[in-house]
Amino acid sequence: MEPAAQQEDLYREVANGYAGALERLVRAYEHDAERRRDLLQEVHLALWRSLALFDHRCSLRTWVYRVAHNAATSHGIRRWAKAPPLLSLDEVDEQPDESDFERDADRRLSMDRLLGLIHRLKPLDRQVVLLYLEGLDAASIGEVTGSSPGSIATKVHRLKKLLTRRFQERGRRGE
Amino acid sequence: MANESGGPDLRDVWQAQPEMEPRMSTDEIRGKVRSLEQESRRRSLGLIACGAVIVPSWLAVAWYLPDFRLMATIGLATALWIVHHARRYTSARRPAVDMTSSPSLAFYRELLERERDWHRRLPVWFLSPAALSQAVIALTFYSSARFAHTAVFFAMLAWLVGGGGAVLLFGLKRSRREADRWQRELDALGS
Repeated sequence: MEPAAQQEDLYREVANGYAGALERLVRAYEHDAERRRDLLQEVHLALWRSLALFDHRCSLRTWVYRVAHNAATSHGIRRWAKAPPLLSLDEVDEQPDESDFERDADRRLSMDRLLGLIHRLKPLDRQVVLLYLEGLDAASIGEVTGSSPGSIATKVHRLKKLLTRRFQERGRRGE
Repeated sequence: MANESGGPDLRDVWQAQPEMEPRMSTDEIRGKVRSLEQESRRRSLGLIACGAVIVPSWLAVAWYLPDFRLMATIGLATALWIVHHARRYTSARRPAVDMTSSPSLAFYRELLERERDWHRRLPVWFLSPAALSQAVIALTFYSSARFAHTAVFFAMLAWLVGGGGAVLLFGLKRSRREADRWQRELDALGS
């Protein structure tokens, strides 16, 4: 098959199979709707260009997540430098949760809280959280990020603990 | 996670987000790539056209004002040096296409290193020629027969040198601070 045709086929597969995941990813990187649209376009462009180089040495899923996260990180890096400092998972755990627990009962508000937490994370911790939420296991997350599975497992464990505590607190306050 | 947290299953909540953004077709992507490439070409052509108008005009003025010939030449050389290096380092700030599929940790490290190096090199390619240019301008004014060495002249010269020096010093400190900040981010990655 011609390389251009292969690139197009791969892109179609990605655009159909990962559209939802890519949209969720850009939501986790950009608050602002206008910037979110720009970022989504940038991610699609990065994918389109990168797929010309796809060599099947990793799965298409790993490739897509790598390119998408890298494009999003590249998009935000200079702006993050001027914004309030981003935190690691441990640091976020130490911050008070300022959301209104009474109002947080439904799924949409849970989503808002989750996004609020993700937006405060450093890029690599953010990637681990997003890939975990997308349903990837520690080994697959390690393949995308290049971190060791041990370090990923530790981060996922911390994340689960953090979310468990925050939602249990919410449950108690909501009673 | 639902059972552990007593709240909604966050993976389900996360994945059930509605899809709102319009999808891009391959034709749209191709068109977007083409328009980005055209825009980049137009920007380069625009810069060359500006240079083609400004540089000869500047040289012509300098030719008729012999006192300022040295100043104009140094100014021109400085401007060309800065524009050349600004373009070189600005493009070096963007990772190459083949880097975008690297594991995120390596890619992020590369991004941080590029930012750090950009700020570290700033004094070399921007501040040094700018400082040199300031010094030459001051010397040209001082040695020119057109200007009498009065108190007002020296005050103006001091203002020129002092003001320029303060701006350059501020720029130097800022670029060092930025480079240190990116280095701290890099150090934190290693820990």
